[in-house]
Amino acid sequence: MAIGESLPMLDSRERVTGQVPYMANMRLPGMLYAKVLRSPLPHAQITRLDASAAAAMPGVIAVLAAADFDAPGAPELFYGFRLRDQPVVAKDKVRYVGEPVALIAADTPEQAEAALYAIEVEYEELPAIYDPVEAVQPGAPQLHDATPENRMVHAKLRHGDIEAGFAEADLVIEETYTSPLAQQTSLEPHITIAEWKDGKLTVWSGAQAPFGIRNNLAELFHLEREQVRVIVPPLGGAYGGKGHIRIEPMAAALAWKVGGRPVRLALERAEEFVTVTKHAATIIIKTGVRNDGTFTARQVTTYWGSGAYADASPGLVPAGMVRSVGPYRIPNVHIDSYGIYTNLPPSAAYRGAMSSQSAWAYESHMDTIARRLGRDPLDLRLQNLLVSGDHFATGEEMHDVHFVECLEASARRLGWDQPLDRGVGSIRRGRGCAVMMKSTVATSRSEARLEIDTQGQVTLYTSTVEMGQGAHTALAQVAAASVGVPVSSVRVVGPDTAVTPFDPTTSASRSTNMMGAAILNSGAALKRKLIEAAAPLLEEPTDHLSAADGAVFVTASPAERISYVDILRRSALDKLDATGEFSTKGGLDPETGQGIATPHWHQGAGACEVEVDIETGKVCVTRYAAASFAGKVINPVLADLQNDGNVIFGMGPALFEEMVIDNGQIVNPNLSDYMIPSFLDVPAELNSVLVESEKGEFHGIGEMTLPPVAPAIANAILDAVGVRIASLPITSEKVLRALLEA
Amino acid sequence: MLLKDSFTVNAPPDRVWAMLENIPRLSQCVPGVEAVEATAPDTYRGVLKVKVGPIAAVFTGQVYITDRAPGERLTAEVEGQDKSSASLVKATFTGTLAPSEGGTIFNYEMDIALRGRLAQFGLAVVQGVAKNMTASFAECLQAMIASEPLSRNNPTTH
Amino acid sequence: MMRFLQPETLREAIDLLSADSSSTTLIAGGATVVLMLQQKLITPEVLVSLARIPGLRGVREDGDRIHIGALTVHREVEESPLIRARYPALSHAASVVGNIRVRNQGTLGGNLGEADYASDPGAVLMALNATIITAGPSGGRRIPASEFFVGFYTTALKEGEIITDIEIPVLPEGTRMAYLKYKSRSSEDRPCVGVTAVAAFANDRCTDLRVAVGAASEIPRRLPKVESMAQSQALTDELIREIAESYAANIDTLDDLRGSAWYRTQMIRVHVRRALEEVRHGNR
Repeated sequence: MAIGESLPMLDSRERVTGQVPYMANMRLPGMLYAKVLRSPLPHAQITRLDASAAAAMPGVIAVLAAADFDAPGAPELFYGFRLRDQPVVAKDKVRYVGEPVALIAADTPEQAEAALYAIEVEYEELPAIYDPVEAVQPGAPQLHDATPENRMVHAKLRHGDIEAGFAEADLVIEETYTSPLAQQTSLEPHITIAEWKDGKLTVWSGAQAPFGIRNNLAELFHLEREQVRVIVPPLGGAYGGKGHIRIEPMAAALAWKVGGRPVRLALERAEEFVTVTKHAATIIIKTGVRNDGTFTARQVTTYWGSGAYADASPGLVPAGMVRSVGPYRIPNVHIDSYGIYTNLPPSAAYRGAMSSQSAWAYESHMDTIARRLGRDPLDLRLQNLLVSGDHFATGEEMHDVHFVECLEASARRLGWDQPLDRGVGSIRRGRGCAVMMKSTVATSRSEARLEIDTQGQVTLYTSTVEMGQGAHTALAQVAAASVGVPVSSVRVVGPDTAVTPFDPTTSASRSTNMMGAAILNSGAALKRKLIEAAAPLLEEPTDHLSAADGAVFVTASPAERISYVDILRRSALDKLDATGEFSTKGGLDPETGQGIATPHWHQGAGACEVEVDIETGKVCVTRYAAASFAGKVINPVLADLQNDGNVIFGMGPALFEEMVIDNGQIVNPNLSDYMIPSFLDVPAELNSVLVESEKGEFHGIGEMTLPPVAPAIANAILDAVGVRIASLPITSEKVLRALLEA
Repeated sequence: MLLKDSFTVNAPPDRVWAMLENIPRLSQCVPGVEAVEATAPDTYRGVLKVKVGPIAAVFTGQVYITDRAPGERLTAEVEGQDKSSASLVKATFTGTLAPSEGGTIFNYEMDIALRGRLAQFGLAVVQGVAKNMTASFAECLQAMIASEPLSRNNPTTH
Repeated sequence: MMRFLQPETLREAIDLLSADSSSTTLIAGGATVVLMLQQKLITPEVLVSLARIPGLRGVREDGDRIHIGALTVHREVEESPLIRARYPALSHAASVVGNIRVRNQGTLGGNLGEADYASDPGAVLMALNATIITAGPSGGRRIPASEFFVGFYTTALKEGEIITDIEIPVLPEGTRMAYLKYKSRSSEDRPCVGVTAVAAFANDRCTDLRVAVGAASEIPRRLPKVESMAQSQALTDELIREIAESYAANIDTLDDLRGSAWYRTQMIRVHVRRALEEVRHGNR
């Protein structure tokens, strides 16, 4: 049985022996190296740019600046996933420290680097703005002429009568929560190689959305989509940071200027920090509640600091709007979600995108409410959590939702009902829990192709990106099950837009669900073809035949069978293949936020125990239990590792991760000063629970248990020492100050 | 980042002020400052060499006196760049003088925007370096005043 | 292009370093030099590696002294039976430097020479009254650890001087010591504050107390006047609190990403107290 089996990753041997063909190791003959000259100022007019000296430096093959885009036949200067507001290299104006201003391609990286210093740029500094709330105030510096008050996106939800809802409440509580800029911090940085040959562009890139990037590049270079080929090798992590078009235009435009030799652009760690970030957020949340614990109304206003360019925000801010409500029955809901330009690097997806920030607010808020009502926080949640058949704030009916099971499972695993040793000396212990809901992409389509050859080898062609999460292994298991062959007979061909069928993106935990379903459909189609080919050989009509275990057989008489291999051989076929797809439709009304937010809901919960040292404020997470709704588990070990990984990943932004900005300059752009968790930070007891349902749909589980981490920890701190920290990260110093002020 | 510090000079505010007005001379009291010259009224050009262990920077830049209240307050804008580390510094300096028991308390505030590679070096080091420079400056200023003849009517340059 | 040179004698290394010290950087294990190179904070023309010079690595006993070669990596310091037996606090400090990759690569001499304030071993060596032994163009010098650190990333080393050895006097029987590394963020962070306490007792009274606080200020600090408060006294709760309070009050703390100056002052108070409680009760 391929489904439900804990197989190791298909390429686990390659992974531990350093044989995975990462972008980082890829070199092409004649390849040039690119370096980026970046703006030192957060907001400035470029008054002069002279690269003539740089162009004459040894080894320099090409220099690219905004003026190059004025030439006849030149590509478009501006690109973007939805809103094309971002220049490949700055023209006239820079809008954040680190914005690309000019590009160099040279024979060696050292020559390219040396030439950067020979480019002369003069700037006239302009006033800058960094905080999203300040950026919408009258008189704030404006980044883009077309966007007054820097409001790039405004997503709304209007459900019921918010004022009436608050009027009905016995208690109305308003709080503000903040979450800072943070890094996705994939081990492998962004790397792209671009090559022009015969008017066609080939791009190798560590990217999560091969087809999206292909389409964006085709627009940028005025090409047919088929003239652009995007190939994606396995990634050394992504976490949303490689979710949209990003450094590909720079590499491709430089290669265009070079006109032949391939160009490699690989970012350094400090450049990663100015390329993409997690959205900073200020979230004002107000809830009306009756004394019996039922909710009457919720209003949420979120200011998403989106950085200087739209990047993924036009899609993510509306998604963040839906994700900011919380998985509760609330009759009257009013949400405003603003995507705001600021003079900082662009923000985009981050594992648990927008839910990490939103759940931080609504789940911390939940415990504040519970305290005010004198209720057990778990109990108050269970009273209000949405169940299948309820209607959400978007008006849609909830189906296959298991928030209650997830939360109860994590609480039970932690031992919520067990007595807690509250600590001695300077140590105080407490418990907290949190639950979250996340939508996925509402309207989307995935395709897969399966091919079987005369050796019985099944090849899965999929544009799902393997980035360490084990997607190719899980999908191979689905492919094996759908065709009826062992997993060892399946090989996976990964994303190459010239070879593998369409899929928009490996993100939003959609692949196991969407690509999994597409593979099931292509497996069924391939079986039909095998049955059709077997019918004349078995001399039976097709509706008398079934396919399983590598053979087609007569349903009523399973001993009469013919193996897949024999079907092909005896039919003189080299191979048989079939394509399958799966698509979903949905969408929300832009004025009211009513409609279908998502084809299915991502559901996760966590419960934890912490120790707080009241003399230092230091928080130690000692026990954690994480539960996600997995629908039907394909590979239990890999699924558990996703749950565990989420918790460890989430502890960073909860406790110490923060990009520190001084006058627009990031002062900790390295992994010595910017702290991510180490293995020594992993809770001594870390448990994973996978909740399944009879419906048996595959669900993505790559993010579900991450958003609850920060609020669960914060709630446990509240339980331990009675202080509420409302700004991430929850540093030791913040806790100590709060303790001394309490 | 905002730096604040103060020191006391053993001389009345008007004498300290007279010193402050002579920027090229005064700049000799800032460790690492070289080649200061006036390029226009209230505008000076100069070089600041800073060395912290193995890390060395040479900032070339300008100082503009933007506001003055003789004997009381001086405001200046400073900007400079260090080519080798691709770093830029911009700062607003406000110094105030106040009499105190026969001497002068010099309070200053400096709002510094340091950008580029050196910015990674961190708040602690920049603050520490500034503090040490302030201490040397105060000592030097005191010595300079002590070596001046005790004339109450030092000509002030504008 | 940067040149990488690997002299095979100390003399050769000193000559190379003296030839143009402003554009030459010494590299031992490379744990920090390579980071600084990658961040382009330093751009030396010449890197002089000490790796091929014999005799600079290892721990040995020499009468009433222990010598640690400058090129001894932290992991060896941690695991040396001699260090474990004689200076458990130093062994512990070495075991919590950076992470295991750093400990297997970074050297004690390199760590001292870099003089990063946010580091562990310096304060311990100061409390152990260690001596830093150097070789240089005009011969060798012995620099007491308490005089070695001068400022941020700055030491008492003169142009062309190289650390060869760290010498630590053997302590009287019954001396107890502790090193407490307080990390305000991740478990593999640099110290926010590091406190070393070394105490000798006779009849339950303190005959010698040394407390060094690292990572909280520009250089590690000892306060001899405060230390002397313990002379001939029993380490009572009250005395411990008084000493901790004095350390908190008299060290000019710094601000960085690991904590504000205010926070560090609080952490000095807490961790000096905890270190003293530890030496009062036992050993580490």
